[in-house]
Amino acid sequence: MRISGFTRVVGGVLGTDEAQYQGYDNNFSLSSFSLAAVQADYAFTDNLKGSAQVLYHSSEIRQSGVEWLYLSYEPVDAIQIKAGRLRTPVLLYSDVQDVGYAYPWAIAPQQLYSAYLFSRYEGANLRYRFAWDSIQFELEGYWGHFDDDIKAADLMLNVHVENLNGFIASADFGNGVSLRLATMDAPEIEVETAQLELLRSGLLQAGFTDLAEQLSLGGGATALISGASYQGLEWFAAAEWMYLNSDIEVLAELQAYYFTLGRYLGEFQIFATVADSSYQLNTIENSIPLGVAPGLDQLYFGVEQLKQSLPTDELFTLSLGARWDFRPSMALKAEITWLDGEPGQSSFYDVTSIQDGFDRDTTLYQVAWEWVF
Amino acid sequence: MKRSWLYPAILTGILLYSANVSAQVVVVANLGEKNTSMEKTEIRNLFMGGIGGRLDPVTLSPGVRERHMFNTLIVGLTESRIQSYWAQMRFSGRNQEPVEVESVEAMLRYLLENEGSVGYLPADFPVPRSLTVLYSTG
Repeated sequence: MRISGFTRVVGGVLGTDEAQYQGYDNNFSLSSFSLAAVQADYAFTDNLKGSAQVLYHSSEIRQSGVEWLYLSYEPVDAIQIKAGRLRTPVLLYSDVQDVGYAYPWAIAPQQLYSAYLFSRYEGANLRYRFAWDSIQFELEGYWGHFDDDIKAADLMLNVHVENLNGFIASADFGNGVSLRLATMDAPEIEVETAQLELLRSGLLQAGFTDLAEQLSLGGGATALISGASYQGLEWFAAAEWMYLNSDIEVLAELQAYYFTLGRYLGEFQIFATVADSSYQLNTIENSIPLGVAPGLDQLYFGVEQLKQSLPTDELFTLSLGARWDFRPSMALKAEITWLDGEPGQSSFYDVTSIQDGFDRDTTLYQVAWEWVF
Repeated sequence: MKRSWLYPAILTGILLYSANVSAQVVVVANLGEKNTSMEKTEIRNLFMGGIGGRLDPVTLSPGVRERHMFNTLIVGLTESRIQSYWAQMRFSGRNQEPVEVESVEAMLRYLLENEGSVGYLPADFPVPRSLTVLYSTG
């Protein structure tokens, strides 16, 4: 039995009192991204292992509990089969997003690493590795189902996904350069939210069937991700680009990317990151006539309110950060991020916190302590 | 398995090595006297968890001078990056880091005792004849 774990204490303060961003406001807080986890790995045989990871998260939005619970079987070095509760390996750091020690940032770029993707699943994962000349290739596929709450802008959604699946191909060229291509397909998504269901039944009763249909949250979504990174003795760089598309009317099409360039200076590293997201909402035509009857007016404003609460997360950020690996397995980080959102949109801010007149531009200051053991 | 000639060999190595400290390393393996060699990229891939056939890498603990030399001259990554990488591998269940030993002497002992193991030593360290030199940075 091997016991290991990780802890991170992340603190931040936002340079405005007109909104909250990722749980941060203009009072310094440690409660948005701080967490602790313990992992137990047990080898039943040389080929069969079991792993469990229990995580405590400080955020009210994230659930604490069993994050990973799986069996891993490696019949030969090149093949690994995992089954159980697993993290979804969509982006480069998706399956270790909680392990801040694994990446340079205080928090991974939110335009990609937000909660839109289904962070974990219950199912199976098959990984195959092979080498060609000096290049190491890795092919990975996963399949399973997801059932959890996702917060999207002002909506808390209970999401159930059947047949969640994806494929990842990556190549490590042995000279610090690696490339990665990934897909995620969620063909059968069911979403429940009390706010929406009430409005939909009202619309159906009033005969606005088309509009009710538009507000349906059932459907499918696909994501395509490509990434590249370079790690050298003096410099490092990483970039990922994601395209997310959905046939669910009230969800959207999202494109996002980040690019990080950094420099190693002994135990220190400094880096700059730019990240951007563009969002394309499917248009919802509010066809309810206004001023005809009080009941219809109520439905009209209900639809308008819903339109306002849907995520429209266009946001450009520039971050400057530093990390100090002051002793093995521990690091300190400091980061300043300029947020440049779009007026009128959610832009990853907590929608209910946005005050009238806020232009979606502010600065986020963060510090973090990372420990793996 | 302990062997009677093992400790005199280690002691001789330590005495000769301590007279002159090299800034280069040699990659050595316990392959049962086989004559073979490896490319630098193959060694890098092996120590970073790539497909390595039946070879088992063993590395020195962070802070040991020869580990820094090996990281710089062969792996081509900083210590912080290597540790970040292994944190990512361990907590995503993808791979486990190589066995770590505390010192050059412990490295030599481990290599002599474990067939199929691959490690590294200072370039001017007298390598026992039972170990095979796979690569030299000098």
